[in-house]
Amino acid sequence: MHRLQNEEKRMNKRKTLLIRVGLILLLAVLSTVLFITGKGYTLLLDNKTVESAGGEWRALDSAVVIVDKQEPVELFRRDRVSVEVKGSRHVLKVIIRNRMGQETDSKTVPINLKLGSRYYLLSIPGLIQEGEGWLTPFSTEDNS
Amino acid sequence: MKTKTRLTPAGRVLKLIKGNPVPVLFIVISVFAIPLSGFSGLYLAQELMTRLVRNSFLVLSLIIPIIAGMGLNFGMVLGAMSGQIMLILVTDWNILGLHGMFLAMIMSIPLSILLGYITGNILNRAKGREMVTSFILAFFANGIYQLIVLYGMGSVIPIKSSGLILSRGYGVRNAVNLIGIRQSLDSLIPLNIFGLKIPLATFILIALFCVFIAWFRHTKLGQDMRAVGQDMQVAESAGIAVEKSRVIAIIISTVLAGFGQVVYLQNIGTLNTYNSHEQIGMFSIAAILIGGATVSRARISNVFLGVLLFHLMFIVSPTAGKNLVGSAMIGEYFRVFISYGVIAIALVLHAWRRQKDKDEARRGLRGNASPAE
Repeated sequence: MHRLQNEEKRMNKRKTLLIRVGLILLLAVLSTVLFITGKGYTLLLDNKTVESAGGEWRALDSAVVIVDKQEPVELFRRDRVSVEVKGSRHVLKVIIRNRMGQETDSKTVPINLKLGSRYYLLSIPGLIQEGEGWLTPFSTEDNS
Repeated sequence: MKTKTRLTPAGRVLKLIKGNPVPVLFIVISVFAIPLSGFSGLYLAQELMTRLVRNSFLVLSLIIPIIAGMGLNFGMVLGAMSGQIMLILVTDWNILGLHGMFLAMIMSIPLSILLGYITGNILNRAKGREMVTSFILAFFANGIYQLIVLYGMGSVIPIKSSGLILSRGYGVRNAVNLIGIRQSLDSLIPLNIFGLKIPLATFILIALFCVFIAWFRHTKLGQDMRAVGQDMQVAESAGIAVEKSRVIAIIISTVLAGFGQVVYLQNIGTLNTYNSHEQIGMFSIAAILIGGATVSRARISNVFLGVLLFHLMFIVSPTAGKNLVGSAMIGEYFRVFISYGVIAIALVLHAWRRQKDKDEARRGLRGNASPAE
């Protein structure tokens, strides 16, 4: 009888421990998910001519950039505009316009931001020309 | 057999006043102060709504230690500190919106449990003097908090954001802008009724907390705590782990105070790094006492009535003072004087009533009990 009671006590203790460990794991997983999906980034949309290893990415006359479902951002030659985003995965739509303001082409690309940096420099001409390194972490001493 | 005496309406009013002197006093003051302030009904309602959602969670966290007979937990400040530390970290990591708010809440849990465990064990060594002990403990913990935030952050604890760190390279600035999580919960489900903005999501969270308290009272642990609160010796002889129950009560209160501070600061949108937590204990305790709670008895209704009356004084008294004597400072002084005087009155009334009950019980044992009212 006494042995049975001891066994039951031990089982209860084990059950409590399992529940506690499970709860801790659940909270750890939830925290990680919240951290990854809630992290804010600043995208620096850049429309400047850039010299790259594969040649030159020439600035566009005019472009409209839509990040996810945010308000469209209009960029002219030599413009740089910052856009705040939340989470690591986004969809970017670039509508290219000529000097008259007429739409000539558009491109939609998914982007995946890594946790390491808070600021990302996104070259619109580089994206259009599908060059390498059009999306790079951006850091200065102040914002790293 | 006792016969129930029928009270006249005047007798009933007198009994109500006798039973709830503090709320009645505040209602009377408010009745005079509201017309003097000249505020419109809509403005007052909106201000009260904002302050109700901002403070209710924190004040509700005081109920469980009262059930366990530990009085008003001034140690809730420790929970508020852990909430604040996590908010600083979340701001540095730039976690936005509800994600940031809930992450801060979750991360505050382990620290709050640790602080609650330490507080609970200290209070077990100071039975009967829990309130003053937790009050002084909050001062001590404030020193450690300042050491961590002023010297540890930026040097030992990595903080990257230049907007948070002092120009010398370590220590957090006096004010932290919580723009990333500002009103993320309040604006989740916006509701507008006759021009009155109601933050429904925050109310749902507060309602869930109330349901938790109501449910908790009926659990085995809740019943144990009630038994401990009524008489520790009797509870001990009934086989209840008195000290463990008391520690758990303080841990729950500290964790919930941490959550409450996060809810409070997301509503305000700015963290006053070195002061925000200090006022919380005093304000919350003043509010629950004004709502009619005592050191040994508190209900959920006391919380809401208290927050409404206490903050009504906050809103109307400076303007009422200005309109009455030409100086807003006098009104503010009056509010501070009345609010903290009320804490003193409530504690004195409680001590007096307890002494009276003891005397009556003693007379009853001797066989010359006073006749029933």
